Amino acid sequence: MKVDRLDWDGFDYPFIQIGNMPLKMEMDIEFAANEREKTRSYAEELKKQESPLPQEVRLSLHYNNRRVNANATANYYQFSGYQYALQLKKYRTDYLNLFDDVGTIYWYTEQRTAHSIQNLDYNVKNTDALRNILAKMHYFHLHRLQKDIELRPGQRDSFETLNNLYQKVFPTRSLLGAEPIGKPILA
Amino acid sequence: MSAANGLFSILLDLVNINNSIIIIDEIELHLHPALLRDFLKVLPNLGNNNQFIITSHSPYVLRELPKENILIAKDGKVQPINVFTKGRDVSSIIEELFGIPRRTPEALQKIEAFYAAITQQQLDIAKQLLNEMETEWGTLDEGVVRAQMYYEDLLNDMEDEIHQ
Repeated sequence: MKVDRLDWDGFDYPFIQIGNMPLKMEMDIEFAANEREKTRSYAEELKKQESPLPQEVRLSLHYNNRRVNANATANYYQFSGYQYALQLKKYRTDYLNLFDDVGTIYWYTEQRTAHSIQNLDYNVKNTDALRNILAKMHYFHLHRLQKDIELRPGQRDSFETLNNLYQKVFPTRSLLGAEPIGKPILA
Repeated sequence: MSAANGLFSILLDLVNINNSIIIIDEIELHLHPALLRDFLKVLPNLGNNNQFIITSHSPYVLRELPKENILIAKDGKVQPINVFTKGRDVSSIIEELFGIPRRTPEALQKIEAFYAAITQQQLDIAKQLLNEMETEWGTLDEGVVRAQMYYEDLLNDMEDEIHQ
């Protein structure tokens, strides 16, 4: 498989291959039983059975000279649980728990900025887009607090989750949410 | 947000990241050492069942991690390290792991000249070098404090000899 086909968020070959020496990587990745089972069932649902999905606990990938090699072709599919969940999300109404047991690889390069969001749920290209997303999350959060919205099973209040994460790193601070810029307009 | 530019995108992603491998290049970028320390402490608890692989050239990162969790890339090879790291002072880590002396060559030369003057009982030269060190590095610098003690000892010894 060519390295360009690796579908890992933030994995950008030109950014990583910046030296004169060719990049070489070797990875051993262990898969939990529930992730293997979910990947298999998602593949079945999407009819992705190009070949029988393996149930290996530990897989190895070797990347050298712009090619990624695995022990067997089918092993690549075991890495695809998260991508399968993304595809299924389009067809499911109960999509909220699809991602509970499957993960992927995220890569944050040295070129990251405040809007280097890797999560495909957010389409963030600049700071304004980031503000827009945060404002929407805050709007949802406020309505949940006012009991206008009740969380469905598996649904989360992203603003609250983000604030919890933020406070783990900055215990004395909290996210305020959308605030009007500049002086208030006088009536 | 500017103080934590490189951090915020990761935090926002972690709202939805579980069971994943998260690779962060040069984790110390944009972060003050104190914030870096706080971030590293909470990192394993962010998200659910995530594994973090980080790269770094910072001794401030290394001192937060046990040596068993660190691999070093050297001469095209990735290998474990033998140097203790967790909880140690950054100067020792810089010296023992990065192979960089704690002080600049000029500073080392000055310290060497000071102790040569002490050994040869050249009080004036020692005093001059001590003054220079105090001016450049401050009176609380570990090397300056030690040099002051040696200078005071020499001064007392010489005064004792005169009285005898």
